[in-house]
Amino acid sequence: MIKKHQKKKMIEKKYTAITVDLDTYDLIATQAEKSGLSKSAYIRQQINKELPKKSLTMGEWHKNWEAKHGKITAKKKIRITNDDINEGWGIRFNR
Amino acid sequence: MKYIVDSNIYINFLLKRINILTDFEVLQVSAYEKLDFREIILPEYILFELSNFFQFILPSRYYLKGKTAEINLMQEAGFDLIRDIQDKAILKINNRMEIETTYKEYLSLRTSTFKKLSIVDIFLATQALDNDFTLITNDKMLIKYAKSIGANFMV
Repeated sequence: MIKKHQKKKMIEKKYTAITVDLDTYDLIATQAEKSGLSKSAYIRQQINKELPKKSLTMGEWHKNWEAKHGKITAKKKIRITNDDINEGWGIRFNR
Repeated sequence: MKYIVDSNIYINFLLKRINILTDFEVLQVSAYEKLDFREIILPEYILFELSNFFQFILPSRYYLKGKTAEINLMQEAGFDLIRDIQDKAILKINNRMEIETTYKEYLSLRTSTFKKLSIVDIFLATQALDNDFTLITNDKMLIKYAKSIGANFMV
């Protein structure tokens, strides 16, 4: 038998709260009603439908991109640190 | 298995031909290269970080004199990656509980050895822990932190 606190824990694990704007909510509600599903079942169905059966790896994506646009090359090599990436936020907000 | 990837991996992967990578970074990036788009969980704040990097940091910090065409090409690659990855990877909607845990953790770590970690780094580790994702990053401090809280990570 599942105790009350265990049940609560299971529920917390199972669901993820999502926030949508009112227009999206109306759209989901209308489409779900049309297909005779609940709103959450409709969202699950849409997510499963959207996933392609076969995708490509990141390495393949890079090769395809280079074949199309040319290789990225520079004589001067650079060093990117984690601080540079974080600094992007600083530059954005200081403008 | 699902993977949550730090922005430094995306950047190092894309700019690997012009970027000087350490052995550890090469290892992490090559693991990432083998990932299918569908195995990647993409939180949207990573896209914001990437767009900031390609729009502001790359041209200003790494502007190579007389190499505008190259910078443009690098930026183009960055924006194409953002376009494709947000289309093909699984977008992660942030959970309110995860955000609140992150704020608490971030503030409590200000006087610890992890004080150099950004709030985005802590958010990544929290989401990896809560959802059983494997974290891929080049940041050794973040790996140490993920280990300390019990999140999965790739080394």
